[in-house]
Amino acid sequence: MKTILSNSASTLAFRLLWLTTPVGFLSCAWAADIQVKVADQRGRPIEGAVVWVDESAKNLPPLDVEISQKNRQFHPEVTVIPVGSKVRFPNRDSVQHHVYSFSPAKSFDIPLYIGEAANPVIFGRPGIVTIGCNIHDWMSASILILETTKFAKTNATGIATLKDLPASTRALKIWHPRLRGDPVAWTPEQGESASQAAVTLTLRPAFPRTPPQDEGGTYR
Amino acid sequence: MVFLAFALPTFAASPEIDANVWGRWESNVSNSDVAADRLSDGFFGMRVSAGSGGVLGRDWRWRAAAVGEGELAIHFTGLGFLEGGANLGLERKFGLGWQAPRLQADFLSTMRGDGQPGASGVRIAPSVGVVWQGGERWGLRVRYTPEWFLAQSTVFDSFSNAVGIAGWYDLFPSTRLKLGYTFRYGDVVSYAVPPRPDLVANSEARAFTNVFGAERVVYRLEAATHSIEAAVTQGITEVLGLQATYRWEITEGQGLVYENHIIELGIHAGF
Repeated sequence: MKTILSNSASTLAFRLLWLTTPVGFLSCAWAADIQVKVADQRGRPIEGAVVWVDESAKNLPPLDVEISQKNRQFHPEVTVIPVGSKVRFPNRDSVQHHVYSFSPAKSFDIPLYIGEAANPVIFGRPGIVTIGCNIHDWMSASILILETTKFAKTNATGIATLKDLPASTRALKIWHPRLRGDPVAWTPEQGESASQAAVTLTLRPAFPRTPPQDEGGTYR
Repeated sequence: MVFLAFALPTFAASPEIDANVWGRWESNVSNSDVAADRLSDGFFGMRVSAGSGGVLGRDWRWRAAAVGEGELAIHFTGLGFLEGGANLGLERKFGLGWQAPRLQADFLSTMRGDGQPGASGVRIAPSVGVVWQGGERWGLRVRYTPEWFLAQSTVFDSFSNAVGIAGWYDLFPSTRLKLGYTFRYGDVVSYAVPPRPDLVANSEARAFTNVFGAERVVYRLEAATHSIEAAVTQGITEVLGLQATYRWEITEGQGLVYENHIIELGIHAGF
């Protein structure tokens, strides 16, 4: 099954082309959608949670994506890529940023720059990478590097839909940047629909990570 | 200072305005050791800081700001003042990331116009300190500040050294608890109802003042002050916060002991 899911236009074009092939058409006949509803411990829908098929696919087509810095924030806050993808970090602010990561899946730093960073960063290992700015401590974003291209993010109502999955797909994982602990695994229990899932994540609060102001103002 | 901020465009200046307004009550504005002499008062104040900051390299940051502050006293109007000046700061970060400790050095210099005759002057307060955000929810700050105040009248001249340690803990994402302790040693100015012949031996400088209505003697002496502070800050929006502070101070020296209880409610806006 080579159906690829992603939000990018290029991937969409690839899927349309794939469906025109005989194998693609047949595989589509067996495809199914899974709708996942993600809520927090109080039952409120969670936007921006990532849902993906728990698999270890090989030879994934790498993506070339960007995480920009604008108004001293990262955009987007959560990026999902297959292993081997490239991420560019353009700084669209008028102040310098210094992007870094200590995460085991990819440790790097891009010292002080404005505009385009010198080189994109390639993420060759699966895992979760948290990036920050060494100048502006409140800036934070996450990159989820997966061994699959079958993933989706939840919308404002907490719903993510994974489309055109093989009917045999049973295991999903769900994650959010403020999740306590590892990604949550989901498989349908006996009698439970395999096409709809409801998952509860226990999220931790987001703290500002900035020292209180002193008499001399703040360093920003 | 403002010139410096705009003269360094290559250092990616980032403009910054902070404003604080507050109401404060002090149990012993006269710093009196004798209960009968002790007077309390309330104040309304405002402080504005406008400047810029940026980076000077991988590990260094700077800030420069013009600062203005003023207070009005409710009963003893002579205790009000207006102060304006500038602050220059430099920060060295030891390592990468938000948990890296920082060494900060600041130089604050202001001119003060005081409601009390002879109490206007120039304040110079360099400081050096370390800030460490130990975890996502908590951090520590240690700071040493020598301070000179060069007044029109020698009785208000002062020099002091202060060392403070403060810690903060975020109870909730928008609610921060701060606790601090400061030790200060240096000149203090106290007021007493005359006659106080005992002050002659202890005080280097004395004068008479009517700032509290009836004539009092104002005198300067060296003393040690311990202060303990607790504050709760509540963020209202991204740029607006409320703060409630309680501070207890005890000052001892040259045979003089006095206490002060201070309660302050403030609003902070930062852009």
